[in-house]
Amino acid sequence: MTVVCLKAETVLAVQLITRHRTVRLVALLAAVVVAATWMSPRDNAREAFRTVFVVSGAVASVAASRVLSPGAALASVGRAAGAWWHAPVGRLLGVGLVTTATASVAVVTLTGTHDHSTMLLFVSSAQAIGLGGIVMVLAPAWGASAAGAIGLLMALLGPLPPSTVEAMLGDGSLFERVGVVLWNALPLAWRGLRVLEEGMIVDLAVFALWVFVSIASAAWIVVPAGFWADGPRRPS
Amino acid sequence: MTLVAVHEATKRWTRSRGRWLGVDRISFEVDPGEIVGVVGPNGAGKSTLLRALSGTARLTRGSMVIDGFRAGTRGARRAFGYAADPPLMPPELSGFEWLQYVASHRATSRGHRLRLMQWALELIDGESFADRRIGTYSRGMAQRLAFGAAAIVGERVLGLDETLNGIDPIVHRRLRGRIRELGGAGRVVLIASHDLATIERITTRVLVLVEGRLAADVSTATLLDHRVAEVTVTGDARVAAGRLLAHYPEGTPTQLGVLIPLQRGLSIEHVLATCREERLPIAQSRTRYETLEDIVLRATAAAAEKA
Repeated sequence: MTVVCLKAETVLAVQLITRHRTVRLVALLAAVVVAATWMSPRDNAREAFRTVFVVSGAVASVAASRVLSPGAALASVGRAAGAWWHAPVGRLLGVGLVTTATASVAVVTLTGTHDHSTMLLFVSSAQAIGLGGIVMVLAPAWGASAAGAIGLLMALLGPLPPSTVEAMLGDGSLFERVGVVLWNALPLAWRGLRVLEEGMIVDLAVFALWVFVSIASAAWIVVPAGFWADGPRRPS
Repeated sequence: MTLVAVHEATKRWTRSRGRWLGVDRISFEVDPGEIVGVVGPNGAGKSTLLRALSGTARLTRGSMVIDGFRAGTRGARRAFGYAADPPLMPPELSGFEWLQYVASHRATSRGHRLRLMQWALELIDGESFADRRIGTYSRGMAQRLAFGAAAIVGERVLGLDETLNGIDPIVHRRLRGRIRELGGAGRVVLIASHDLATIERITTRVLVLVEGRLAADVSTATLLDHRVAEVTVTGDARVAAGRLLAHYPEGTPTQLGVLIPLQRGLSIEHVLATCREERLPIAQSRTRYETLEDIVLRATAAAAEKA
């Protein structure tokens, strides 16, 4: 029964994502970016990798903003009354499916039979799902547009390494310190690029940690307050 | 065994524009097979009551127990199907897909899921529109689909919030019959509505809420036990009502006169004699059985007087 419930949540997520015009629009823009990169004369693998990360992150952000958005998507969690983890896991799986499909197209188009293609697909999908998880958690409270915009921003700026961010934000201010801490903590694309270049497994662990944190946070947000205890039974 | 037990339930809403009471110290119990109407003026707490039972609103104080489980827990939510007003369903999906999603959370196998969906579609007469996107539905279609989905989820109790509104008369009649069948099969059906005629027809019991409080809890069967005198006056109805109510304090002022319960040997002749004594010009007078509307009006008037 758990598998059936999980499948239902995943299918619902894919339906909510693929039938929304914003997601389709972002996918179209992503296709344009991929095509432009493919046509550019430079033969630079890092550029292609970066494009794949930006595209998969952008699609994941917008997709994740739909699956628990206020309104019907959020209300459906309460209507179905599944286990606490069904909706967050199933819907993030749906985001993952859409993101991986998009990333696959980008990877095949931009890298072809490059040695790192499979790894690139895996890492970019993992990073995008981590990012999507954060957006999914923000969406119920902030709304789909705000959460999606935050995610898009993280996807677009994500390839910048923390050192660049530090240099950009000035010297020693609180703003700079917060920015650098966030840049190191969030599941951003620069970590994915580092995995491909240096094979840092800890970066993959950061992505996985964010996925778990997102699922737990989303579950905490979407289920009713009394959900966690299954009692008390009335005395007969 | 009691299926729904509500004890001293209080829900206080807090918003940026202030605080107000949704429901205030409401207590009642419902047994299997009962079809219970929840009526009252706008803002009386009908929807809040159903939302609290469904677990989407957390009580400030008191308790709600559904089929032995506290409202909001998974056990209670698996027993309570809720059709909200307005029905919140993804407009991108077709009705069939929505029922498939809901049924997947109940079914033990693929065949079971298909049977649940078929049953729900028959319940709401939804075969003709189930393949269309929900976003293209009329209000009535959306209400029917929400009813079907709630019936799949609510194995023991159904909460219908204004679900029969906006439905054409032919389907309305069929749905009333189906609701009675659900009650006959042992499910509890709670219907919040402003349509008092429908509530009077299909329910076995009615809860009247006024300003968040339970003002009356009446069996619809007892409506036929009570008769009332309805007196319509010419001239200033408010003044006339005031003078008549001085004699009959249990009466209720109406727009054109006054409504007086005929109890403890009181007859319409007594009332008319009082009118003559008070020199009140009467346009029309009649006796009839008490209706749900009378009870709601009386409860509302009593609450206003108390306030």
